[in-house]
Amino acid sequence: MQPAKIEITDLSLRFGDRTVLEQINLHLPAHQVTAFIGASGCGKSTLLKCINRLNDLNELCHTLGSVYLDGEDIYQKYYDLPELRRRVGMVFQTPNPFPMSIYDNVVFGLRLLGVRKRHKLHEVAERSLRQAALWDEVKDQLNRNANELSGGQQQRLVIARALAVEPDVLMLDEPASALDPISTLKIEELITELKQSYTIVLVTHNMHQAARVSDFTVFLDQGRILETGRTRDLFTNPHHKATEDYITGRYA
Amino acid sequence: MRLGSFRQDLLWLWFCGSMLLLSLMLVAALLLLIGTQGLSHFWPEAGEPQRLVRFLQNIWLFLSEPPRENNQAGGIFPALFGTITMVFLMTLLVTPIGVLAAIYLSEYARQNLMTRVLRIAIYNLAGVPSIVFGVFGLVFFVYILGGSVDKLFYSEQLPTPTYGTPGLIWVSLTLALLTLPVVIVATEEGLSRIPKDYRSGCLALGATQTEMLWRVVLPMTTPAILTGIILAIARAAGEVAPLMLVGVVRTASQLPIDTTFPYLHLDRNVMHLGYHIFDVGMQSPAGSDVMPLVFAAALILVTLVITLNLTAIIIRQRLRQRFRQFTRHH
Repeated sequence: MQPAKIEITDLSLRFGDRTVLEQINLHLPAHQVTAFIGASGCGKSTLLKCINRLNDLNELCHTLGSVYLDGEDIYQKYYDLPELRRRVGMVFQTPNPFPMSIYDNVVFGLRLLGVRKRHKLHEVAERSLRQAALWDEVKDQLNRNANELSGGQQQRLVIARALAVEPDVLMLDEPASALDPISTLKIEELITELKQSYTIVLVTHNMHQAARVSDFTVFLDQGRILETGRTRDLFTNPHHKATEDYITGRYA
Repeated sequence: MRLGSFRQDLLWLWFCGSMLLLSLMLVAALLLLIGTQGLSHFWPEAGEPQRLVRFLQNIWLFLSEPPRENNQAGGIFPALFGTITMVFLMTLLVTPIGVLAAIYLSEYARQNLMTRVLRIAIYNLAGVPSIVFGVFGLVFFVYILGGSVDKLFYSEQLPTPTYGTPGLIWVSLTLALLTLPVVIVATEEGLSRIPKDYRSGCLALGATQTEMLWRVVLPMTTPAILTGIILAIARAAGEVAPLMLVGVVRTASQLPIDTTFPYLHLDRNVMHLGYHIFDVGMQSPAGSDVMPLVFAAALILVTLVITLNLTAIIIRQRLRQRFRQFTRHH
């Protein structure tokens, strides 16, 4: 097995009285794509947001257990959350570019870090947009408002924005669910491309997508991990009846 | 049976329709009366040459000259100037306080019972009769705050008070207190309308909460804040009663801003357009020739407030359009 980039041990999470995640133990290998699959409300997105501690925004959220990033417990007291979130980038289900120009969107994270030098910003903007396969489409209109781009372009812009701060981990929460098939294909190609340099965690509802792009698959059911393994094995030879039903579309 | 209910519908339609008509007629009568009477004050006598030029000249003179003959004639300059000065100062005071308080309430405070009670209390401040603010201003600002300032910094002039007496700064502070809920409510509403995606997207990039607020959330809230400020200004420009207690007078010998150091005199009494109208109106018996003066001053005040309200409406409209653009793909 590859060395673990992220190690989750005995993680449980509840919102108020409602338990959302229970006893999660998981290890995510570096430079691989891990897909979280499961029915709506099974806790996949919540589990994802445990890795950059975005659940903390919810006042009702209560977390037990630990998540280790490169061996360091990110749930320790006074942990530097902005630093954590720079290392663990995230792309959301609906494209959320900020209401500013394409360029300002891409370099947003760098400016947060205090980078002011023009050539440095330009360099990173171009590199990130190229990585996100958007450069050729927008290189002549970097000052255009990001809201004028199509949904698929916006999603790739948001990926570029996340890549610009050079994270170690990139998490994508159903990144293609709001997109048309062609944009979806582009995003999938991108994911395969990006795993050379990043550890990728992907939440998806699309079984074909999980099968196509991921190396490992985690199947969640009502807040618990029911089955996990290499995507190849899990999809061809699931151990649990529930997993088999879900991936073949007979889930009730 | 069916015909009966149909008639009932018709009756209600007529009833509601006529009430609407009545309201419209009342508003129209008010504007018409103030408009025609006010403008007729400026309209030159028949037979004068170049009547339109004279008409515009008269308006200019009315706006730029001080009142004469115990407010019975002349212009309204000191009153207009005073109103604008105190409202301007009020804006400088209420904007930072209101915006920061709203940010605390909706961004930092835990949304629990305590915060809800606090919010309700602030919202209800808008319903407190304005004269109560005047009394509070007189006791707290003038006597307590002003008195202490005098004891600390102007003790050589005591027993003659400097700040321990009604004056411009207390007028502006009282107005700021009065309009605080307007700004807080508008800002909070603006903040609550920013989609959650922008906030989490920003934090997920490694922004602190403060960076998220200043770089993404607040810029998007500016139109809402501006609307709040303009509504506050419109409200403040029309207030009279509470201000009479804290520094507005019927005649002031000096303007609050002049060429002697320190140029802006926060301790001076000021004139106010609303109070000027009240004063001139009270002094003029029915049919007196001072009445057109009252209407003319009222026309100026109404024009001022309506302009401000219209600006607020236009900004709010722009805000809605911008939001539609932001959320197009959501």
